[in-house]
Amino acid sequence: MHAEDLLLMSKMHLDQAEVFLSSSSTTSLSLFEGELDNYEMAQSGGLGFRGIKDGRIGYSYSESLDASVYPELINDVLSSLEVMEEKEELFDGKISYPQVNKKELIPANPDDVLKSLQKLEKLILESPQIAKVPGIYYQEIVSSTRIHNTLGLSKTQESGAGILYAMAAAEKEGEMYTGKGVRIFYDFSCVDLEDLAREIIEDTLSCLGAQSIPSGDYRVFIDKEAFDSLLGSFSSIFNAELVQKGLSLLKGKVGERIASEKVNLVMAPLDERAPLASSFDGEGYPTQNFNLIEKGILKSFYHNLATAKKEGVTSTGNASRSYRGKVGLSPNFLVLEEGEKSEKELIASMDKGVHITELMGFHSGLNPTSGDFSLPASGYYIEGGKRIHPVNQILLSGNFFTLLEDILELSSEISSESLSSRTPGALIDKLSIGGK
Amino acid sequence: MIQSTARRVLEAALSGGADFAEIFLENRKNNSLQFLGGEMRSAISGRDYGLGLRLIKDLKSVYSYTNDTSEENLLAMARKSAKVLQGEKRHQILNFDVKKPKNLNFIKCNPGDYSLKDKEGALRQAYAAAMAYDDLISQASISFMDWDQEVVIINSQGLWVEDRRIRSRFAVSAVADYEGEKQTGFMGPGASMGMELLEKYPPEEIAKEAARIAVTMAKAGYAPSGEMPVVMDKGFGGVLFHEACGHSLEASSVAKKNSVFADKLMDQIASEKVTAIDDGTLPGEWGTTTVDDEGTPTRRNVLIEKGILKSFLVDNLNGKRMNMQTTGSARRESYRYEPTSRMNNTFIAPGEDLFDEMISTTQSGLYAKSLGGGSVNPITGEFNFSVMEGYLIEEGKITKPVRGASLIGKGHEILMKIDAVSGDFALAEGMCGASSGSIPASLGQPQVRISSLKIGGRNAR
Repeated sequence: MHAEDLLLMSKMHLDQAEVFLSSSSTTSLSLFEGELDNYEMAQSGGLGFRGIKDGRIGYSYSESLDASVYPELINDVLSSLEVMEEKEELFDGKISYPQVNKKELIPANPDDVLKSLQKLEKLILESPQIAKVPGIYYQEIVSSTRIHNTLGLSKTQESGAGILYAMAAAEKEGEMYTGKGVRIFYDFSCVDLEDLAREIIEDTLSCLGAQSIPSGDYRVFIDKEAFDSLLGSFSSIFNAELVQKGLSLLKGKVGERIASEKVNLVMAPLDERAPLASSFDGEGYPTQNFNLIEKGILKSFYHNLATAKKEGVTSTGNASRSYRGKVGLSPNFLVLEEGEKSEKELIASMDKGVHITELMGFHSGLNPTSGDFSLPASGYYIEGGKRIHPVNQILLSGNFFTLLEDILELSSEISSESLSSRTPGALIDKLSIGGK
Repeated sequence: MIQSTARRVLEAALSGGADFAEIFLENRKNNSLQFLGGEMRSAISGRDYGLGLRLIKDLKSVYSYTNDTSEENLLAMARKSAKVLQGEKRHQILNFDVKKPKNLNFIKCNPGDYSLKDKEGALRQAYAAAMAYDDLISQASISFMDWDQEVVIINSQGLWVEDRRIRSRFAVSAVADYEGEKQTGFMGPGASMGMELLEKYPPEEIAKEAARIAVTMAKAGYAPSGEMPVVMDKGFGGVLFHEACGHSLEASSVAKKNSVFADKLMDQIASEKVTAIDDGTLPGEWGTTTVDDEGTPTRRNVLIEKGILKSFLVDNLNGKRMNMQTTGSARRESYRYEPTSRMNNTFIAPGEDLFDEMISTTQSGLYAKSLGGGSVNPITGEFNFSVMEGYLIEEGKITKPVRGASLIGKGHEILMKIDAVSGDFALAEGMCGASSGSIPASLGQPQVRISSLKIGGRNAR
């Protein structure tokens, strides 16, 4: 596929046009009971096409990259722009771009990977209390993006990362308990398998005999990885399009206090910890670091070209794009800045409370429009600053906007298992727990 | 795809000693529209196209996929996959028996014959109906999507099956603002139908129902928290069985004994009131396909009969590990996914209890009227799902509406606690996500009462 040919051909039908090409190559291995279970390798992608005619924008896409699909792509854009009413402009790229700290994924030899997965399984099973390892999964992904348009924009970007995930299961009194561990890496040979195995064993065994607790309001410490997932699930409350369309309760609140003064939230795509760093966004606009919340005060929303224009500001470089869909908005790396006290100190400070280590059910148990959440959780019951017993079969419920105000402290440790954010653990004054 | 190419690709695939090789070729046209805030936010047509190649040797599988279906690329991909198995060629390819089974779904008005412009009116009507429903409605998002998926499944044992899956879905999400808070309501019917979907489910009706839920929830109080009896409404109430049991009966987890129900065949795993079925053959239903994604005809599988576990949902590869035949349950989102056993249209069959009696004999509980999605850990049996619209049951009567909350339990405990099943049955539609991607699946049931479930509201009782 030559993007230039399609752009040239579209000149007869469209005033402006843009080709967005994305492709990825993945290698995955999984292990079950000492044997290779599944090996997957793939190279695939697609072409997103958008064009402007008489001021109207239209979209189409194809995964078939044969030149025979050009007429269909152009026809589909013409029928799309007859109907679409969004005001969008293409970007010409005449601007300076930031330097990003690019990390290269070093591909591992599949035979070596298999041996490592076998070793990891063995290390986990060395603990006599572990009943089985339900699965170990390894994946390398390298993806590339290219944007070309008739205004002269031409950008290319490649990024890659690897992920290793393993589970373990143990039994106590007829009930099964599971634990897991994750590592994100660029060089698989640097992953410490002993350390990961220890973590998985600890995660599995520490919940043995877990029980529910009576329903009520509790002081809660949410672990960094769980809080990272929770924050990520509500990040669309800062999405300028949703704000403008009345789908975020933060509308009209820039400059107001919306969170505890301990909260500093930064959009940080240029942070060196960002695994999938890019110097430009889905519209080809430069990415940048900026504050969303500073000492509890809402400073900004995140924008693309269209939402920025509506508000009379400049884009923050948060246009998201997949070849299948229209330009939207997404965070490109969120960092909630860490606090001063350690997890240990914060947990020890709880007289009676719950230390939440895992939250689940994110796709159905929360609603960013209302801010409400009700999520299955597990962790430990704490009394006098000490772990009393493991807890499961409870639901943690509340409202995210209220939670932001109720943050008492953030931990000095920060999460590391997510591709999209970094978050400390959070001590929350009060949340509802549904249990016995 | 021409037979000689398929033969050469499968030959190359078997060259490393695989027992079995399979091609899944997909060509799918998607159309989608979204109307939001008084404007057509997007209207996009596009084509998915690609080929997945699976090799099986013993219990190992090697999967690869590509968008480039030139013979040269496919042969290179097949050889590279074969090399992973590090063996010598052992099997021959049987002659292809080309089949194009009669489609179980009858499409009256193929959505592909209608332009985006033709579809626009329905979205505008629904938007107007939602906004006009009540002064509290502040926003509505309307979407309509349809697709036409053509697949060819070819394997080294001579199978050559062609199938076509056309589906349409219309969805409305409404937002109500009340006293500085926002609440939402959702309705999203879908079917293996064309434009006639909109006759069965008129857009204004869908919009009014979504708006009604949003307004009711805006004025509602918090749900209770703690353990109590729950009456699940018919239709989407089937999410309870889907999560608490359905996933744990899929060979995907049973074959490796990663399920609380492994080794439980012919045991009583549910109360005698429960008969549960997965049926991929119901004409026009959202989860129906004529053949599964390994080319096996779908069928009606009785999973639980009067509480006794009768069958799992099995695909070919997991069936090999379990020494069981496929049940026609192999599914995948697209060529990007290796197939595995999944649900099609899964439901609890009608019983003999009366809904009114279920309510009147409940002293204090929750009536779950509209439901959201959920998830499960099949190893521990722990599941969750969300209630979007609930009502308190107080002294045998449905009383105040309460806002959404999640419900949890363990599948192997909850199934035994189903103590009433009504005769008033319905199916509903959802997207189900698992290892082989996001697929359309129907779920259903009559009204059902569970004697005790844990609810995560914000009012401790």
